[in-house]
Amino acid sequence: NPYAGLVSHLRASWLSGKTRPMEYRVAQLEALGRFLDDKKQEILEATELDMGKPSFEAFFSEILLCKNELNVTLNNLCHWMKDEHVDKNLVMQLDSAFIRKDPYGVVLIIAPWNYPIQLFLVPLIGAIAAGNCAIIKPSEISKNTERLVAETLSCYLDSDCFAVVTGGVPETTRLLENKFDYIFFTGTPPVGRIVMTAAAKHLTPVTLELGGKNPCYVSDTCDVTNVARRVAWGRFFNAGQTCIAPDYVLCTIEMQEKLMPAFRAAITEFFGPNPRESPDFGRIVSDKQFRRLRGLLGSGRVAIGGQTDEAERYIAPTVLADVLPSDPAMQEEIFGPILPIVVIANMDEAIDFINARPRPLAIYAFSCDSKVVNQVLERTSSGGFCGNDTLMQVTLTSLPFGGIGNSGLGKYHGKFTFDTFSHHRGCLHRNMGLETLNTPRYPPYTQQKLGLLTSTFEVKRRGTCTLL
Amino acid sequence: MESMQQIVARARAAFRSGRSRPLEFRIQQLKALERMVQEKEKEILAALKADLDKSGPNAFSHEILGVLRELALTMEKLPSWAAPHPVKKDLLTLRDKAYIGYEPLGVVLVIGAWNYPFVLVMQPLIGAIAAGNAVVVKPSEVSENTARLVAELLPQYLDKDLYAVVTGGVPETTELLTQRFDHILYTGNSAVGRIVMAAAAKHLTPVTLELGGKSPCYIDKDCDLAVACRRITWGKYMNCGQTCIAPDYILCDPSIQSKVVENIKATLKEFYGEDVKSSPDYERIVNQRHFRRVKSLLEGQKIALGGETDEASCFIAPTILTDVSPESKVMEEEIFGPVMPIVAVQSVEEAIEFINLREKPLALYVFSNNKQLIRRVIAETSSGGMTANDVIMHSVVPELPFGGVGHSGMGAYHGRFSFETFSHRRACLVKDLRWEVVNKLRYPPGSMEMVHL
Repeated sequence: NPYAGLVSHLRASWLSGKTRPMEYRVAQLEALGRFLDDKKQEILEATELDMGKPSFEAFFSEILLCKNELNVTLNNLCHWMKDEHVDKNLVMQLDSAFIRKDPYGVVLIIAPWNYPIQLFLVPLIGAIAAGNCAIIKPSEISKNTERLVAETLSCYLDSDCFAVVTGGVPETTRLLENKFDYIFFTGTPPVGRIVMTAAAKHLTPVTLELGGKNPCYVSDTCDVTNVARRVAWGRFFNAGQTCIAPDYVLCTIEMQEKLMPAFRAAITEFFGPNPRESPDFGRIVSDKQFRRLRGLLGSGRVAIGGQTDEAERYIAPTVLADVLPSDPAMQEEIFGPILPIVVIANMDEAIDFINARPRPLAIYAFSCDSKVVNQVLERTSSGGFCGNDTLMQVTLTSLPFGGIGNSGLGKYHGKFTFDTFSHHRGCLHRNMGLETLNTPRYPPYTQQKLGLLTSTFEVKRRGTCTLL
Repeated sequence: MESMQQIVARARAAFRSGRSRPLEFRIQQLKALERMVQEKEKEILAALKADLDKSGPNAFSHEILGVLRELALTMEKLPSWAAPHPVKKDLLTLRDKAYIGYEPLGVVLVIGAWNYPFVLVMQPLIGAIAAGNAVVVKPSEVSENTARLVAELLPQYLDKDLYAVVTGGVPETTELLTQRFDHILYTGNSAVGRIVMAAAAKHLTPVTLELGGKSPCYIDKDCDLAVACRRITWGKYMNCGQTCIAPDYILCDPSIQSKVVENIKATLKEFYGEDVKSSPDYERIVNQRHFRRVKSLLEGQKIALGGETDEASCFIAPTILTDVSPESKVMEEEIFGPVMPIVAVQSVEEAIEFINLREKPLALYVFSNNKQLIRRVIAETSSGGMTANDVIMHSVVPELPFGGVGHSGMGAYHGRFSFETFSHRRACLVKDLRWEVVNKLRYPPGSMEMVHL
């Protein structure tokens, strides 16, 4: 196996213990910060070449969000690493019971192309913070960023403990044959299955950040202007190539009517009369994706946008009206700047529509009536939820970010990334004395001993539950 | 005979009805389980006696007491566990509601093991019910009396559609695993653990695997050997060694090896009397297949104590092997029987190296008066869990997560960790439709000046 040597090398470094001291982890994390500062321009340029990512967006998602995660981690690492002492019962008062955060060892991080820096760097922050060694596999589709990371990351991180592997499907397949102690994958559900199947051979735990169709319910009582802006922003950010983008809108026919001019206004406000000329609107990452997206334009009718240019891989910010559940745009995650509107009669129908489909990474609900927002929240299931806005639930580092069902398993961001990459080990340090206290548990077993054991180990109900 | 597909479909329809979600319902079901354990205590103890020859008091303390405790703890804490957890907000979200909501996953599968057949099905079930899920329970067919009893009792006390029991062996379990679940908790061995995870991968189902391994026990020269050996003897020979967190083998300096043997011998007499075979408190190996497996581990070994076997009753005497070679068969697989190999090491460094060269175990034990040494062993090794100066006991602290790492498993449960294992932590952010001016900062057209704000 072409990567066996590399994995062994990292494993040897891991076994040497060098990634464990806090000082080492802090030094590596600070180096990552310097990577983001020094290479800011190169990152903006590479992502622009890869998918026409506007500098403003690239700065926000690839630099700013990453630095936030870095700072949250550096500010709290000492606290997160500490043993968590837990409550004990009567017999163990002289003992020490705590949860130790152990690193796993050598972890693998596989990143996708749409936010090519953030989606390897934020997991890496947690992996390093938790004391692991890591192999990073950036996406070959965002090839300029891939090259940047492969060529420069090693100048910042300890190459005995952290390595970048490049390549496509064959290389990733071979890489996955090796034993890792944790695998963190961001990508599509079909590949998620392949990764988890490979992990099963080695009993390697995984986090899978996948995707799906994120529904966006817009109720009849709402401020149309603001709704349109927030939905448009979420949909057209990165030219729609965002795993948590609002994928489609559910609303009544009257609301569809009202939304259209509001969407038009928002798009013009954001990108000017000709979005193709706006520096703030991105492009599609590849010809394959471009052609796939162009094929979806036949769904419903094009109410806004619809223009494309193959040479530039440009697809205009597009809103499709009267889309049917059977249309092509409703068969797969869109991952492009196309927003279908599916008309439903009322909120109940919208909720049924959502629940009849695989659970998505995010659900959005817009209403001036908080009861409506709560209803949608309570009667559906998704990775995360945002009421009256889009995307923002992932910018708060204190909220876990992850999917459910087809949209993924596991979660990260903030402390959740550190926890993802640590093994929480239950530890009990007992006193060698007071051996008489142990007598009730030893044979020969008697009813009397059992009585003693029961009274010392039992948890008694404190009184009747007020709910009943 | 209902098919697996029909059983799971019924559970899913029952879950979709929403009735398992209200806390009142969940607590009512848990109370019913509590009644079941209290009312059917005799039947449960009889099943355990038939399956593993466990004596009444032993079975009660190892299986029933733990279940009652878990039920009481869960019913007490459920309202606080299930409540939304508000989170720290930032400048942009100050006016918003931000919290983590705990939601059920859906239909979960619990696959039990035969060595503690009642508690290993009940404890996960308690957590799964508490988290609001529908549950399919598959007890181990090897402990057939307990499996049959669980299949009879659960429908008498719990909602029949939400909580189903499936019995059977490998073919039935294989078919069950083709169905889609929203979480699978499996207790058993690593080989089957791989099969379960591979099956789960097809549906992207998260798994908790409670597996096993060889749990090492390092005895330092500086320790109270009499106390250490009494505690080790208890943990090793309970349930005839068939405990996933039993101390599997001892590592110690050759100079104390014979004292260790002496102390264990004295303790065994204290526990089981002169004739172990006639003690009501000493169990038997679960079946002929395992009897033969454990017996074969004695071949070619230096037996310092015990070694007597009787195939007809699946009896294997408490046995100690000394000067065991690390390459021998008894040091390759998890013993899961009343055989204790002692491997000589010259120092704690050598012990740590020995442990680290092998797969990460489910439990790790170290006995020493030297707190520094203990800290060092903890810091330089990894294991699912561990206890210093005792064995087994970390698994009974309700606030400690119980689970493996590496080949010994993934995920954890017990107490609130069971609840969390079977819940989805959903990030919720609820904003206002007003205050649009704050959002303007993020909208295009963007400029670097805006960014520096």
